[in-house]
Amino acid sequence: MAGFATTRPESGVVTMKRSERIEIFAHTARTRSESFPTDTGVLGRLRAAGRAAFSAAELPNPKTESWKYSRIGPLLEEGLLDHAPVGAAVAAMPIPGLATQSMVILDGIPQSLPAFTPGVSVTSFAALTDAEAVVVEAHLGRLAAAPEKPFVALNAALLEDGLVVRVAPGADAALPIELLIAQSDSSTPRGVHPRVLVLVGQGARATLIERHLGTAMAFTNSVVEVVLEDGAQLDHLRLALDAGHGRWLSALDVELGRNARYNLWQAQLGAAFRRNEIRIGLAGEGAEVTVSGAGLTRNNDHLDNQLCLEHRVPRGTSKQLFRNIAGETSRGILNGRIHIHRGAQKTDAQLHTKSLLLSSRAEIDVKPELEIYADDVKCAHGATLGQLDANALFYLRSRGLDANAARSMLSFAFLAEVVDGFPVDAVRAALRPALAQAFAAPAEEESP
Amino acid sequence: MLKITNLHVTVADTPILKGLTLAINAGEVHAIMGPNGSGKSTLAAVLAGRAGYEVTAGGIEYLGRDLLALTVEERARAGVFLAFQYPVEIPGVSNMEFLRASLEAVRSHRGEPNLSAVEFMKLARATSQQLQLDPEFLKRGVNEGFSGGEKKRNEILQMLLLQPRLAVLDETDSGLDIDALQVVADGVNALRSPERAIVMVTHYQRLLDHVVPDYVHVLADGRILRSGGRELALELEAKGYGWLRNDAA
Repeated sequence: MAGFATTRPESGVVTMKRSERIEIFAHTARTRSESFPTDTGVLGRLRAAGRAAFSAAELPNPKTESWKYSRIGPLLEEGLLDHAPVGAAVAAMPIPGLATQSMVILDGIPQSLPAFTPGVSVTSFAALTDAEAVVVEAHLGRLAAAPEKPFVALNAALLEDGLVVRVAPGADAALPIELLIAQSDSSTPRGVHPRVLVLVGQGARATLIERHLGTAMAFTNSVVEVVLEDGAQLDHLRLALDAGHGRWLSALDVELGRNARYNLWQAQLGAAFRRNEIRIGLAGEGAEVTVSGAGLTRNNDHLDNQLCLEHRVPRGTSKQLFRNIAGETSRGILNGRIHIHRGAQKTDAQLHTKSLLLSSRAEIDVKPELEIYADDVKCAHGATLGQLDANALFYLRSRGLDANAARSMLSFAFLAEVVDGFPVDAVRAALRPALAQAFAAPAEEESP
Repeated sequence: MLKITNLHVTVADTPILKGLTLAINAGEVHAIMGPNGSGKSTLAAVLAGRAGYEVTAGGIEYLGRDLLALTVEERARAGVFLAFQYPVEIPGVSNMEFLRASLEAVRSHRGEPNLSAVEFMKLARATSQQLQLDPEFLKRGVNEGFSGGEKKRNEILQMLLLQPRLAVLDETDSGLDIDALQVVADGVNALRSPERAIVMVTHYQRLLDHVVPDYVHVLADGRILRSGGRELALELEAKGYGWLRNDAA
């Protein structure tokens, strides 16, 4: 394999052009994918489809609109397509007071599964029976298949194994289901491709807590697909509270049936690279979606949320609320696309975002995109961008709080509107100290 | 305790205080009165360290230290407290959390141990009740949606918790009805002690009926125009500020 030049120009080594690095990445990925068997079963068929789609797809280039603000560079570094042996699991910090039933995907590989409560079943793709495979394959890859998503294709092409979570029709899974997408303690650069399909049956209810854990330099290219049948409800909490060297690219594709409800809450810190590509399709009338996101980036971290709400049928509602804070030289990105299809009358779609810059060198890019082909809809969006209120800072300091504590308190307050809405008490309680710690951490020394 | 000498302050290049000299001893209560625009609130802001006020000449000594060399929070920890004319609303920060962080900052500076959560709750509730503030206010965002009177009482609540050495009350009586005025005045009187000084900045003398000052100063055009006892405030009330100006001219 050709080496990647990662040294800076001043070291005297000629830096490779980005287009060349992309080409090498694609070539390496194709070569690697050929070592995965594609002959049988759900896994084989998914890999074969992924391999074909990846070969046909074009990786993002500087002109790709949806990647305009996300630097692809961090994904192209050496070793991020290699598969390293799984190291020891790092004990995931449990959330105090939170009881869950957990599944773990460690370095891309599903770990042995515990027993789940009645109405909930989790199976690895490799262990699916032929009858189950038929059900699963009706959905698997359908939602995430898109020519503009080469990394979703790559996930399928390099898939070790995945998990399918099923909540039986009518079941009320009171105990939250926890999905840990975790890095092992290995420090070898590597690429891992976690994959999960969640099927929530008619009228069923469940809570999914998805946590992304790890700070090592690994490329975690996850794909989660969620299908909510008619009248189903899922509360989906996504926590990514480890900053660090990780490259996290996460596709989330959701489809809602008639009168289904999907509530997504995200609390995320930036990392060397963190990007979420979220597409939520309202495919049945009367479906309801809420999305609430709190994001904080510090140092030179990166956090990109690409959302696309597809209102395909009438009487759907979607409400999105985001709070983003960027400090130091970090970058936060929010692209909120709302696509109201022809005939999707009586749609009510809202997107509200507020952003806060803590430093003159931080950057936040917010872009609402409305595409509306129906004439009887409500569609509202609002975006504000600001700095901490000097009066409030003075007020807190005049009561003895030092400037840093005052800034943390005000920044936290800014996120509170989202964080206080998290539906699981123990998660809400854990977010406060986690975010407070992220605010309090001193800024890293900038490299000269 | 506080020695202000020939203080000159400009705001956005406009001179506001033009040679103010004033000495305040521990145990005293001073009222600073004056017409709008005379520099009363500027004086309060400079004492607390608000940005945007440039001291071009003169100085302020507080407990033997150069007050102007201290940051805003250092002043607060050293016992300077400003009750704001317009308390700031901070949604998302609970009043309780704010009061506790503030008390901890000030107490740890004084070398006092932190209160336990229970001790703090007890103290905060008791002080709220003393000011006839529903303890539910402790759970709400700082000043969020409070009425004008509630905000002022919240200032006094903070003052009573922090037990400052020098309390500066900037127009604390404005926007208060007569009952609230009595409650606030009781709070201020409760703080009077031989170790403390209180400075009340006010346009009207009605607060002075309830918190009787030892000294009254009239500020006009950036200087102390006249100083006297309690009777000066009454005279001003009867004759208006115009009287002094004409008198001085």
